[in-house]
Amino acid sequence: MTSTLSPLSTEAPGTAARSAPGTAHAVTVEAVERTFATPTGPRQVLRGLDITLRAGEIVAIVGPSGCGKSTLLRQVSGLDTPTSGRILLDGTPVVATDPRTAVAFQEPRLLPWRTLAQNVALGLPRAGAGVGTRRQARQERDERVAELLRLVGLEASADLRPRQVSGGMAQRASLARALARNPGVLLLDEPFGALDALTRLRMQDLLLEIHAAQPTTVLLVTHDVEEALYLADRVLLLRSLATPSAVPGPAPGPAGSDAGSLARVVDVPGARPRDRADRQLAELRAELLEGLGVDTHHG
Amino acid sequence: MSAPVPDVRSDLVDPPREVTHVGPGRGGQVSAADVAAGPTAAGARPGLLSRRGAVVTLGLVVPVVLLAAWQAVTASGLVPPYQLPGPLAVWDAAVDLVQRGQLGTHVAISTQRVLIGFAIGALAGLAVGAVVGLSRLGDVLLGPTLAAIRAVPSLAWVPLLILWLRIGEESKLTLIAIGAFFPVYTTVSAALRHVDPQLVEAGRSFGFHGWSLFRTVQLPAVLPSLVSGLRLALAQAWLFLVAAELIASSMGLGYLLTDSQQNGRVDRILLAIVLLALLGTVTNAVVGLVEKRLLRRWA
Repeated sequence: MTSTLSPLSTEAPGTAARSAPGTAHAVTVEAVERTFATPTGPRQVLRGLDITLRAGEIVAIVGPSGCGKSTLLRQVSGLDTPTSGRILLDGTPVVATDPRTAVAFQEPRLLPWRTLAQNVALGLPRAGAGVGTRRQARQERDERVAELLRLVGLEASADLRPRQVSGGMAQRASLARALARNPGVLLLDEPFGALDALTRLRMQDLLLEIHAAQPTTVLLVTHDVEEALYLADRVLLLRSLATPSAVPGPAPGPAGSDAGSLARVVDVPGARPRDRADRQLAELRAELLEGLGVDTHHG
Repeated sequence: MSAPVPDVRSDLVDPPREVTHVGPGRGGQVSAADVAAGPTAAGARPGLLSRRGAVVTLGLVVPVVLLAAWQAVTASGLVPPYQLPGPLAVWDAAVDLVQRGQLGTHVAISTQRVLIGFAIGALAGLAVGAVVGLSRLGDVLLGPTLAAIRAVPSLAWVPLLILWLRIGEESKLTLIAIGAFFPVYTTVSAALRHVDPQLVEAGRSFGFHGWSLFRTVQLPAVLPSLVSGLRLALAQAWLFLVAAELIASSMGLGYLLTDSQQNGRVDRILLAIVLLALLGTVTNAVVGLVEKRLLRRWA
């Protein structure tokens, strides 16, 4: 659908003030803990988490419900703050709604009163835009939005409202809106989880195309082990810190209740695009599902 | 994909949109990939009631019947003229007042008071509604007090306002502003509390906060509620106008009412009532047009 991919980093002059568009950032998660206050007392969802993402890497996070996957993602974006520990992007701490990051949520979360193009424009960086006239700046923004809509294959639907398009199209617009921010780290919170199976496969390929065109660091939270193995360089398996009886999922493991959130890290072999039916991946899939407490009946 | 829809509504000034369900958030969760097809207008039955001319004509039936009945009971002598003068007598009273140059003044001053008081009250209602609806602290601090003030009947303010502001324009405008304030305040503060938190979070994740978040996400989300609040406020403004003018004034339709009562001019009393009905209808229709324009994107 997007055979002519222009590299998104070729920006018009005058936008150099932004932090080098399209530059991927390394992410360092250091000893992060997160405890939520609940009516039944404090509940810890993340503990002793140390992760490093190389710049430009795609990393998938899988884990049972309530293991803190989304919390971690929100912390990297600055929407949430760790109770202790810290998160660095290229060595500097994450600030609230850090402009170096962009989030695409499980729901498209488009503003229903705006067209798809206007929704994508929401993601454009606003502060200190350009040196040209207002008109020039406006034209630049329009061009950038058109370019992003082309990238996700929505150029024909630019003037439709979210209600008028399918779930897959809305999710593509949401992705374009996140990319409009020129993020050094793209954060995807189960972005394809609500889509039908076929659309989901197409969106996965679209994500890989986008990543090839704009090699940003991608942190992807997913429930879908196959998706993780198809897309990611590495898959992180988080464990649930809640008592095993409260939340279905893997037992706390041999390390007992003191273990950190990170259960294991799987390096995914093979260059993308990968064969979805690869045997090696099938082995890894069985391994990960077992780690999630699912019986795979794998020989 | 979309079957040709019989264009039965082409004679409408502003044809309703095809898709009727309105809901904040969850934009684009439409299951099928039917771009712009949508469910075709459910109520689009071709018939008399969908023609604008017919609607206007039918709306005039009852007033004409009432006018005829009025003429009949007065002309037949069923009701004595000192209790109910006929329509022609009221018309003569109007002509008489116009020739004296008084009617225009009464109508103009009353309309001016309503519009200024309405503008002040509505703006204040929007501002305070935003504070109470968006900030928990604002709600806790101001909510109970405003609820108590709201419970005071409009006429109870009159002696105090006259004492403080004298019998000038200020006391009347203040009373009308109080009347216009509460419908806007109530609807806006309630609607802001129920703006889809996912949309607000999405807005925050793209760096919107404070005023920019309000302008970009929260205010557009509550616009339909705001408009219905404005409609109520306008009706209240006319109500409070008469309350203000009945008690202390030397001009305006409320003054015309009391003055005519004291002089036994029942024809002028009826004239004032008819004028209030007409003016209220006209201003309400103007707000209706504004509403259509504003809510085009929500329809």
